[in-house]
Amino acid sequence: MDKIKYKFKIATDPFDPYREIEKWEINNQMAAMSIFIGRVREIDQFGSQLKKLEIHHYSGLTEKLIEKHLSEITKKIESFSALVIHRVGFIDPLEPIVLIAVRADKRGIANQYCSEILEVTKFKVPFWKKEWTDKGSSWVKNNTVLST
Amino acid sequence: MKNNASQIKVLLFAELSEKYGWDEQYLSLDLIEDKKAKSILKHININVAHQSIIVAINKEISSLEATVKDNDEVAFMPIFTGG
Repeated sequence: MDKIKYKFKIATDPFDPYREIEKWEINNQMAAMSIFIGRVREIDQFGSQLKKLEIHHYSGLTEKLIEKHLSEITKKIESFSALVIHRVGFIDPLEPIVLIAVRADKRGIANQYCSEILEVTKFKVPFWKKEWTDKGSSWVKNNTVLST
Repeated sequence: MKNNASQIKVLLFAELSEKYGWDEQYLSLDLIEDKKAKSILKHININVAHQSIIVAINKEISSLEATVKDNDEVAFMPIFTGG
């Protein structure tokens, strides 16, 4: 059994998701892996060109809620390992905001929990987005819903 | 301001913090008769729909009906929009 089944990190600086996965994979030997990389959109919620995205969070509660969720999954699934990184601060368009990588022994489990963890970061964890354009800034009011 | 046994710490985040111009203050719990989170919100003059507020007490998600104790950290947050 893996000693460390999950890792969560708040990133205050830009990160390379592929490098992070490479480093993390050294200690993970399971057969299936699902990856989600979210990047900043180039357009804001009103259709204007985005200059920067600013992400705020509640330090302490953010980590607690994500780690609680990851811990609950590890209690249910023996063969599971996850890496979650979320940016905060000012982020340029197309820079990565979030990385979720899940390893499991079956593709279904890897896909299922990669998607589930993403939805948790969107709806259950205290992150807030503020969009900056040439016209000023505005807080994002509603989260995007899961769609195809 | 220094925290002591008769105080609570109140936090505002994101749009709420920006709108009301502060993100942290200490408050005497004696000023809140029923000690409920919703009464703290009223006391600090935050006028927003209750369904658009998320409350955490001591870094645990809670509710506006929850009772607050001395030295608690009470956070009022807008709906989460991250990820």
